[in-house]
Amino acid sequence: MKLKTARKILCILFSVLIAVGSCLFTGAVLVKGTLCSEKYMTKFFSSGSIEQGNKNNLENELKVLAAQSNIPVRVFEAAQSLDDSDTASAVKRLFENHDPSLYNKAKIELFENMCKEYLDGNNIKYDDVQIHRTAVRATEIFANSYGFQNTQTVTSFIKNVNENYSKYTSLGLMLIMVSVLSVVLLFSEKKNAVPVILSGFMSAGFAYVLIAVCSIIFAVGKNPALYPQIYADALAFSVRCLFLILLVIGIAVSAMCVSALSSIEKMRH
Amino acid sequence: MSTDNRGLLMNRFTKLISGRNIIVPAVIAVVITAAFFAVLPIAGASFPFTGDTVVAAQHETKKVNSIYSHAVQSSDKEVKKSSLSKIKNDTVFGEISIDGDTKELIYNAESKNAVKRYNLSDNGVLVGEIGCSYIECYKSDSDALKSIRNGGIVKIDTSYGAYQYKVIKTAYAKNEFQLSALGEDIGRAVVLYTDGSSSPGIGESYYAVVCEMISGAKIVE
Repeated sequence: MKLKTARKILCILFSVLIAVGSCLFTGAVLVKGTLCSEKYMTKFFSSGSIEQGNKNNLENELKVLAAQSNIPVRVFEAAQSLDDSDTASAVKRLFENHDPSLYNKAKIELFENMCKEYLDGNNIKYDDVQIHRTAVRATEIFANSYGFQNTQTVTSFIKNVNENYSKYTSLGLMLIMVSVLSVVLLFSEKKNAVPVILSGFMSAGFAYVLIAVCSIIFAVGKNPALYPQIYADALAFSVRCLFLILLVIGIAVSAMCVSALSSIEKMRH
Repeated sequence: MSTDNRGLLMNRFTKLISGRNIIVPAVIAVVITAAFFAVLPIAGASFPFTGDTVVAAQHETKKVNSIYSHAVQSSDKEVKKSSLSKIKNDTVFGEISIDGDTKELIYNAESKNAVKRYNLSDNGVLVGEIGCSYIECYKSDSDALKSIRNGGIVKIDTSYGAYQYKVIKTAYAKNEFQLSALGEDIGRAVVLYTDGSSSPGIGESYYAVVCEMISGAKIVE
């Protein structure tokens, strides 16, 4: 009787360990595959509203620069059209650990050459220093519109996840494997171990569903401290989608486990 | 489905949800969820965008307001500053005419709202007040400013009264410090300034027109 009780307690313990291991593994894979994935984040940060917001800002600021420099907006726009960098390329640079601000010498030279080309073509005298200063300002405007500034916390987060990803997934897998093996060893008749293992995975499935639902209800990550608002909205949406993915995974895992357990019950009868 | 089959299915389902098969995983899931939300505030601190607001891009979105209606005339010789309602940033509150060229006067506007306007900086001195008000215009809008000479008249109509200022000097300032010194020692002054260079591009110096008030209601404390 005592042995039976001890085995029951051990079964519950291993179920918990399987669930914890699964959560650890899934959590690490999910965060790496979503918030720390270039492809995933590009989808949100290259959305129409962000591109439009960036475009509007660039147009407005170039009008200001044109007024400040007496060089027509179309000159800056022509230089801009020769460079295909946009928000997507800023996201790419962020994940490649390159400067995502899009402020660089090549861009300054591009603006400078276009301005000089226009002024030479129209026989307008100019001062090199002033044109260079204008090109620097144009590049700053472009960087402020399409690039990402102040990304130190983001890059360190991505670096941290990438560094610890294998650690968390390995730990999760190890917990699952050790627990599964232990459960198998607990039973002389191996088929009796299956419901216990399934129960562990079902716990994980239920936990995914509960975490996802609660996170959506309590709006986890809804108001990131990020400006401008369209960027904050995009980030909040990406987090919401992460929880939706978790919800789908949770439902799928739970359904599979319930169905498997149901089949086992059926076979027993 | 026969009654027997339905009964059997119900029996299995009841067994499934009432037994250890469902109850234990559900309890474990609740515990894991509770642990997740307990750890979240601590783990969340390592997530970006949870502390001070990160400015990822500079998108200025302020709209222009207006409190100006044309031809406001004040017969008062003095107006108490406390009786004037505070002018908010990016608010058009008047217009400036120089040799027939008229442009709106905006208060402490962000860059895009200052295009084709005169922009009064927020240094606490209003037009008509003792001290010096600094009003900027961009190079492309500065033709009239650069053509006015000593003795010329600058008309400034505001939401609280009409003013006339006489140009007492024009000058170049190498930097903001020199620019800020131009209006000193003049009772009620306005310094209108723009980019100091005449060729295209952003210059380093400023061209300034220093004016002294000759008519209009004095703003007093």
